[in-house]
Amino acid sequence: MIYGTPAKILRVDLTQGTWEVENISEEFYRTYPGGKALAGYILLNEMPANVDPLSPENVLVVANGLLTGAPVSTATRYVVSAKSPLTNAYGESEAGGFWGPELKMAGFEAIVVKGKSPEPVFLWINDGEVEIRPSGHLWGQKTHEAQESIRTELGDDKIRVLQIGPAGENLVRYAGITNDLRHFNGRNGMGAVMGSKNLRAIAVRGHTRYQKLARDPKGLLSLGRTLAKRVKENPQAWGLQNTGTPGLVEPLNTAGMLPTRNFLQGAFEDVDEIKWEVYESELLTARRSCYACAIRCKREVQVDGEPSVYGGPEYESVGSLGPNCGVGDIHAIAKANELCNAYMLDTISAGMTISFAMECFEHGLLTLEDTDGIELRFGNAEAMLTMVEWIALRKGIGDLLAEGTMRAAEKIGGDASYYAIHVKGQELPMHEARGKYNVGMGYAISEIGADHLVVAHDSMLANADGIPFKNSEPLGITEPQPVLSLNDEKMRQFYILEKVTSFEKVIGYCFFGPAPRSYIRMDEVIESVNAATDWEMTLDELLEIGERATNMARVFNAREGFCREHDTLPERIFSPLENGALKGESFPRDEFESALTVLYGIKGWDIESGTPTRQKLEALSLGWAADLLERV
Amino acid sequence: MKIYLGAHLNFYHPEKKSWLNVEIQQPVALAEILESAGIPLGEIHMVVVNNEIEEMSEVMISPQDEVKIFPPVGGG
Ligand code: SF4
Repeated sequence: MIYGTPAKILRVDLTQGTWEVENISEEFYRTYPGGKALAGYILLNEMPANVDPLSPENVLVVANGLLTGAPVSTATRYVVSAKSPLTNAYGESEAGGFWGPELKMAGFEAIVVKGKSPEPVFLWINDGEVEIRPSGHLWGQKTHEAQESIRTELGDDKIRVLQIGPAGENLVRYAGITNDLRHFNGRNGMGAVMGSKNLRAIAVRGHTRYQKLARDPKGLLSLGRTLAKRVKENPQAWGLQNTGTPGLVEPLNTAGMLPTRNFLQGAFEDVDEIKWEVYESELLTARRSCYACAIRCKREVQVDGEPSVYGGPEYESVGSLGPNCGVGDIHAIAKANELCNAYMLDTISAGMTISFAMECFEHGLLTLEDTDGIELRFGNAEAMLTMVEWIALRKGIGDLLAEGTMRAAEKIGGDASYYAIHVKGQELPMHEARGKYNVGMGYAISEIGADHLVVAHDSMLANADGIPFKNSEPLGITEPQPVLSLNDEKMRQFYILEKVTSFEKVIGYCFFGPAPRSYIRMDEVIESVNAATDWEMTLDELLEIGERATNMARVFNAREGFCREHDTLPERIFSPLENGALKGESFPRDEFESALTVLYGIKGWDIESGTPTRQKLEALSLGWAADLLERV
Repeated sequence: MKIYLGAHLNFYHPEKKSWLNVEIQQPVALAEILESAGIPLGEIHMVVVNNEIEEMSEVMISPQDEVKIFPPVGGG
């Protein structure tokens, strides 16, 4: 037995309509202990370069982490990975909830899906038993309808359903995946990949609790209890429980870092209509959680006066569908979020593509003729709501916008590409790089395109007396750094912090669990790994696991032709902000270029190309990946 | 006067409220007020007085000022 995992991968060939189970060895699993690492290994080894991401040749991997499902707060995550139809690069998106733990309880660590089914299907996994069932009757249904249909059909309302919606069926390039209607693998178009395979859903039911897989279940439970109790004693964790992520709206606006009108501005004049206090009084009905997580940062809301069957908007969704589109109506934002969840669109890319179209319209690059008479201007909430539906259904101009900002801008021409705010094709999330430079570096360098969860945000580590900073000392971070700097020490810290978020994505922790962002100390993370396994793992080994996963994704991208020139930021971010506390601030282009050189050097990546060197790959036990690269 | 405890800083309010009532007659150093209210200065990232961002170490506040404080936030 390998502790912490059922050590089984379910392999499904949708073209043939067959499946088989693969057993994995402990040596392999310790090197690639789930999540991003396992997915990266499989993608690199089993998919040739340059496949069309929406073709049957793309490989879809759904992978739990070593600790996913452990009775420890925030150990809830699984990753969905494939070549991204949005970026044509390594694609990945994590989600929490209950589905990952259920898959583990059903006896699988991961699922690998290949080929394309001739007819729409869904997978049904019931404690190790697998069925490929027709899903033509679900096609076109909104996600809550399909979830109910599946549970009724299988006669069990406790079944956990991971699924795409109509947006994924229609191959919208930023279609996402949901589980339980409340948790989302939103980014990178993983829903479109499922859609391209005619796979609507993966339903799971399992009964083997994680404690049966762990070496020291009592130790794990005791750590779980300690961490659950401490949520009330730690300001970061308590804050997540109290307001959830929507609590970020006001502080970020005050700091001049609330992306407004397609990143033209950093402060929104109607912030008082959408801040947490308004969310709380107008929308909030309850607080909810992911599996065994005591933080409980998820929100339940009412929309149009009725309890919503979907979860409430997170900060990212409030931001992208609100101020970013110039919309200051909390009810319209909640409605748009609900529509995105029903059709299963990534709220970030949806909001950003609509704000892009609004700016194009304001500048005459799109006209009433293009929009079928819709005044697609900033602040037009009704137009925003219509666009969400049209994109999901590829109706009217929605068909163009379903391609994402990069491709839509190419088709529109003129200055449109200046208004397309993306990196590598993926739209920016709701964090203002001009006010936190490591976040900007993360946007530029991330293998999945603009991503805000590459490193802990700058302000967390700017104050030596702050709790997040003190919790980072075991990582070798001992000097606080200014937020508006890309100095060498900050790049060294970036390198360390990226390894932390990367191993979180491997072993299954949520970004809101471990320090520095939140409250689980590094020694406790190690304790959890060593209670789950008999590996006696050290922090260094765990950091190396994180670094290995990042490097595999980087090799994937190098094989697809990505290089240094793709590690950049949208032109707008190098230009001054129009208003707010950071009015006039731009991201420093020259400093960025030299910092990138420094960072590549620290990471062991070739300075010209940005590709990991053979020496680096061998040091990470990835000599095979260096061989792959040489064959390109 | 009242001080707004932004984001999770209401954690430090005895009743977890977002507004902290303080009695002052004349200008006082903000840091002094916060320390006596049990709000660790290390947890404060941003101080806003009358809509202007200020340096904590330099802020004196008067009874008519509008004061907001925020912790570091980010990610999510
Ligand atoms: S912190 Fe929030 S998102 Fe993360 S696992 Fe807990 S409830 Fe889920």
